[in-house]
Amino acid sequence: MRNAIGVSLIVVTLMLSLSTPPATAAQRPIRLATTTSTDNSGLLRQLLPPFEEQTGYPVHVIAVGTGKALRMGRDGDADVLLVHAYEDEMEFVSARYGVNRRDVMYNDFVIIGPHTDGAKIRGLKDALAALNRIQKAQLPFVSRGDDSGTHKRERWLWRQAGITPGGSWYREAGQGMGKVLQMAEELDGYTLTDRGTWLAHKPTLTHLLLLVAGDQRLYNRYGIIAVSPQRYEDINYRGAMRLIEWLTSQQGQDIIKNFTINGETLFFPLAGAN
Amino acid sequence: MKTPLFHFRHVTKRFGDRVLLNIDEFVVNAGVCMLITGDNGAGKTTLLKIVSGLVKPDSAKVQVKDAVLSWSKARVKIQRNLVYLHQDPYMLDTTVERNIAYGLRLHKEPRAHLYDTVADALRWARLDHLAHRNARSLSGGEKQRVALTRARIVNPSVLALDEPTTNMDQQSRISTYQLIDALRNEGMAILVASHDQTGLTPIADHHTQLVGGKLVNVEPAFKRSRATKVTRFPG
Amino acid sequence: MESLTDASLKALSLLVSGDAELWAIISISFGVSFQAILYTTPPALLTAYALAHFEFPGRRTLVSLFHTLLAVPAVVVGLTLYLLLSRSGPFGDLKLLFTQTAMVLGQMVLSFPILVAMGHSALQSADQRVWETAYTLGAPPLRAMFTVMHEVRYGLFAAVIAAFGRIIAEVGCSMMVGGNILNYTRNITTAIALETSKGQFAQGIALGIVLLVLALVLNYSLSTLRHRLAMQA
Repeated sequence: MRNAIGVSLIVVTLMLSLSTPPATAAQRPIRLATTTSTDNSGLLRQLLPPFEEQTGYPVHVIAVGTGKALRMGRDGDADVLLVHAYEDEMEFVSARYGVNRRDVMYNDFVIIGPHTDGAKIRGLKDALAALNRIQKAQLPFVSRGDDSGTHKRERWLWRQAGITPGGSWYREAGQGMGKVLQMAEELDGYTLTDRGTWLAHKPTLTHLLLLVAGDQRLYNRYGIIAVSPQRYEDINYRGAMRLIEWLTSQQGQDIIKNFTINGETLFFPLAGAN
Repeated sequence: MKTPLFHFRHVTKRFGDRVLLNIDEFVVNAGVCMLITGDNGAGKTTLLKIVSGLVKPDSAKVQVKDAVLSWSKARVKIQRNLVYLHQDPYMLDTTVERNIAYGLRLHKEPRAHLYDTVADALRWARLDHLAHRNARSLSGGEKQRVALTRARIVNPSVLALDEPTTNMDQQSRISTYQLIDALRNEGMAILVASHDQTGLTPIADHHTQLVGGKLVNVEPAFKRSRATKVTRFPG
Repeated sequence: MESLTDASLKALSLLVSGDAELWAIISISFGVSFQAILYTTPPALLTAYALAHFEFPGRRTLVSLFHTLLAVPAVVVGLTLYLLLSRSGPFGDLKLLFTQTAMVLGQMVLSFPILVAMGHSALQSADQRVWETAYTLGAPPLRAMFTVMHEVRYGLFAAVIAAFGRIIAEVGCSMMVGGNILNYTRNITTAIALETSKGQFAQGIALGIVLLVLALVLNYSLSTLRHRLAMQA
């Protein structure tokens, strides 16, 4: 009996560990640090398997906020970054942390909120005006608060509106986009989100509505950057370049274009535009 | 003239301020049975454990053959030649058979041969009917017999027995005496610390008493009156 | 938002239908934690034995140090390990960040103090006569140690089970140094964190069920061992 427990534990665990898919492949894995929106929406699951199959490179996706992703690139902990914070990306490249930045796709940010819409922002075309009304109404606004691309954009919008958000109505979550949408749902709050994540989550969010969209300031562009091989010579630069090539190729761009949730397109191809 | 196996000199041990042992000389002779008596707390167990290499004395020199060694150095030789038995012997949590085999298994004896030897030993101690019982479930007397057999099987030159018959009924006591006597007749030197002089005096060649940290020789065993029945303070 | 019952039903069907991704996650969890325990147990029990058996200066301090380390949060271990293993950290050249090896390392660090602390109290409770009996029958020091360990084996098993229970349920460290990479470093707990953030509760619940069942099995074996322990005493 006493040995039976131990032995069965060992056997079960060994069986389980043997069934682990082999981590080794012909090529060195590519470490892709990306924003949660590309991963959580399910886009990468469409985009990466054909790439892995064609090139033999396994891609390890590490889904974090844009801020963390850029930091990982700077520290050499990722080989390639797929992020959405244009100005920070430019800074990253000009500081020689990264090379070969390419536009990949775009969508837009939208402001969503409870269908009761106490701040009366529904249908506004001006994002800054909408933020103003939310602040005036002192209604809950859930901020990412995690230095992600979305958070960077949100803070930029508040600055443009001349508002320093704070107080009990302004909730900094420090969580990913999906979690923040759930919090907005539970709190009857407003929030800024990329359209892709919003569409991916909409079926489970019954109290929330898309209220503001279409402002030029809400344009959301995703770029891909290889981490500079000059800084880290053993970085998987080759793999990174193959991935950049793939994402900006006709085939990759078609997958992006054809990726829909409930019939709605989440991302629009942008490669070739630059 | 017997050759001393171990010749201890200037053995001292203190606990705090109290000097427990201060012994000038303690000789372990081959094939000799020595009875050590003394009051409770006189230090019999400590002395036996020092001699057995289990408790470090504050000071001691040990002569082994021609070499005079420190206690720590002598310990290795003691471990090879002497087996100590607790007053209440510890039974390993396994069968009687495996308890007895323990010492032999250390010597990488071939398996088949090992269990023949163990089977012989079990018969010798009349424990064969208990071979597959868990040793923890035995009575005090049976445990003592297992312990004696477990010690005998490694064939030591010396056995150190600490109160081998306390907490035993008369029947077990007698069979323990018989085993000790049998072991002595096989040529093993035996050190016994005990209150119980009645059963042991006939077996013992020497009788010494621990008083005030010193060893005092008691008159030869055979001269002692059989009437002195001292069974004080068991344990 | 889907109701708890809907999500739970979906969860059960995921488990029963042998959803490949789900079971990959489960096997990663077990594989990593099992390795961590396997590598940590020998040195941890040796340490515990040394602390229980030998008198040396600073022994008490060491024992209380290990008890203190029990309380270190997993995220702190994760952060420290992240900084050490990062490409720009001192051990960056090993390229271990975001690998299973990093997760194993993190869990080893987490399980070590539990194994030492619980192993130490088990070994300390061992009867002094065990070692003496082994020694006097001629056992060399290492063999005597194994005999002592064998006599308190239920207590040691309990230590191993408790340590395994902690590291398989730990999320902070695995998330940080593993990176939650699908089919590679995504384990039960990081997957639950992710699925919850995505609003995919069914998979989260399915994985939660696995952890619960595991906790049940571990606790049952622990209480069985405790029972045996009580009988042993």
